Amino acid sequence: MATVSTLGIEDLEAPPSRKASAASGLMAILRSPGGLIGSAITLGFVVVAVFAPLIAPYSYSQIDLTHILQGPSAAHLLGTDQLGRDLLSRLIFGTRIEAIVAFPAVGAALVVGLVLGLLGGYVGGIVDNVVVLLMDSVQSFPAVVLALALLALVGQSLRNLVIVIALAFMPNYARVSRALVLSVKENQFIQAERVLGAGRLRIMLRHLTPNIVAPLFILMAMDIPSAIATEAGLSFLGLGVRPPAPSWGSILADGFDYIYQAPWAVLFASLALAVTTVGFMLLGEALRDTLDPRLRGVAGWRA
Amino acid sequence: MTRYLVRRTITAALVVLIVMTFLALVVHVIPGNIVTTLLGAHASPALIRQANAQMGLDHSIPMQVVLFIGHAFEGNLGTDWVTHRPVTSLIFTALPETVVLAFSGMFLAVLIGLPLGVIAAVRPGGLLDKTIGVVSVSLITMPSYVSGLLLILIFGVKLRLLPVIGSGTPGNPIDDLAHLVLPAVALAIAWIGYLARLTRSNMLEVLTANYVRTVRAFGVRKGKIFYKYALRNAAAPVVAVLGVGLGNLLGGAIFIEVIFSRPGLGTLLYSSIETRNYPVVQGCVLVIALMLICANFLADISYRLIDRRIQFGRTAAAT
Repeated sequence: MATVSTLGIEDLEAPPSRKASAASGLMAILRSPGGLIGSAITLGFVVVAVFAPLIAPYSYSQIDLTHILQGPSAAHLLGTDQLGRDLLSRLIFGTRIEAIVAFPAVGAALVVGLVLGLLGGYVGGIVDNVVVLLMDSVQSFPAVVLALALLALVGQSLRNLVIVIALAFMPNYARVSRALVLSVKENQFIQAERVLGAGRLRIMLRHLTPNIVAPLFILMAMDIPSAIATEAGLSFLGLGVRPPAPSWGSILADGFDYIYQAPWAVLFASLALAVTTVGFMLLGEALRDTLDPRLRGVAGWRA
Repeated sequence: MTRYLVRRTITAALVVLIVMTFLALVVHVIPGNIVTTLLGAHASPALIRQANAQMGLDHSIPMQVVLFIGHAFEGNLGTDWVTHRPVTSLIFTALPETVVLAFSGMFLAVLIGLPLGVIAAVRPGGLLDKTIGVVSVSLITMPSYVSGLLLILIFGVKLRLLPVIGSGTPGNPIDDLAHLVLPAVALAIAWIGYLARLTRSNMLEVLTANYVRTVRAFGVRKGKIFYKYALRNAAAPVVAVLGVGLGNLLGGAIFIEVIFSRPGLGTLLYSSIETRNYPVVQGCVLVIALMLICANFLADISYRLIDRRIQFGRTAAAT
């Protein structure tokens, strides 16, 4: 612990001895009501996504035209849609879609953003100017607009959805990692490495990255709900996953078409989205408050 | 200040150029040739040539970029692929609708969010503070389309109180307003939560400042300290947030316009994407990006004008 502060990065509140801090950090998160609720919802989301086929009472695409647009009943707990498909099962499988889009998208945004941030912050000079300008340019499109326009061009598919959302979310990671690199690279241990003859690549990968990655993970936790909301929004507009894949957005869109006959679909899909996004945000905030309170204001809700 | 202004203007101009270049090149992202995609594989060579000429694709790629940027500065964004009307005129009919919607949303958010934050800050940790805290967290994460759909469900389907389709009959202000209420509220909801939290934390920070302590020592009443001395400084960051938030708001407006079938930039963009009307897509995206660049520029500058403590030239990054 003490060694960390002598390196001059006390303001980063770098993780002290890792195992101990992980356990006490987890306890701190679970002690706050927000953190507890957030962790519970997040855990629930992940469990449902992983075990969807075991939990769902029906298949997500099983059509039953004799029971269309029904309200909640014992056979169909949340009712059925316009093709008689079980709404609960579709929402449960939808969790999977949200997870396989949101996690890789935000993960890719982090990796690419980190690389750009390292290049800009450590190499500096014209490389830095170019990185900053490019990020400014990408950020002059609202995330949804950028994703929408690109998807319309490259065509819709799960892979393109991930790429487009990653691109829209990446600038924030580049910005934050660049700023962190700028503050960490002035430390003596970096200069010592350089004197010892370490190359740029080695310094960036072995020394800078481990020291700046924690705040990026917090940012990631807070971006996942935005990514889910973006995916569902694009699917709602018909540009996300293709039917019959049950994205929460396409369930919303189907429900919206029949909102007067069967308002349930819109209600339940909205609830699923609202609860999930709140859960991830509460967890992200609890993480931020325990690990790195400096990030207030940088990591926040957007979408 | 002048130096900062100059530098900030140059960056903004460069960003505009990069954005335009990107939009000029973006048609080449499409797998295959855009014209054959649009016209089908069996289009006659003459038709293809004509379409290429119409979209400026018969020039070399660098020339296309130069022409696109040049035309854009002249206010010429090409012609609609379907109706052959100039894209600029389509956008200028749609733009006011979106601007009205976005500003009504922003106005509502400030009108409700700011006081909520102030009320919460009166007694931190109290019941009112906690209630407002829970409410604002639940509002912040609400995507605009979820708010919109829930509002339609409650006020349009269940209560049948307010109209949920279109933007009202032209020339009837009361009808226009009735049609504006739900979309504006839907757009504002997330921002109400966000502004309430932001204002609360700003207020609490400002209230511990030395100057507030001094004023209190002089015996000024608590209410006056709150509204006269603290609120003004606590509200300053809201300006910056609103500038950055415009992008967020415009993104949300697309969903809101589509859900409520309102004419506007969002509906125009969405319908042109559906019909693969690329010149209109390009134009809409460009105008939205330009609005955002302007808003960020103005927010950066006014933020520094309001709060003189911020050093000029220092970027407000994560450090």
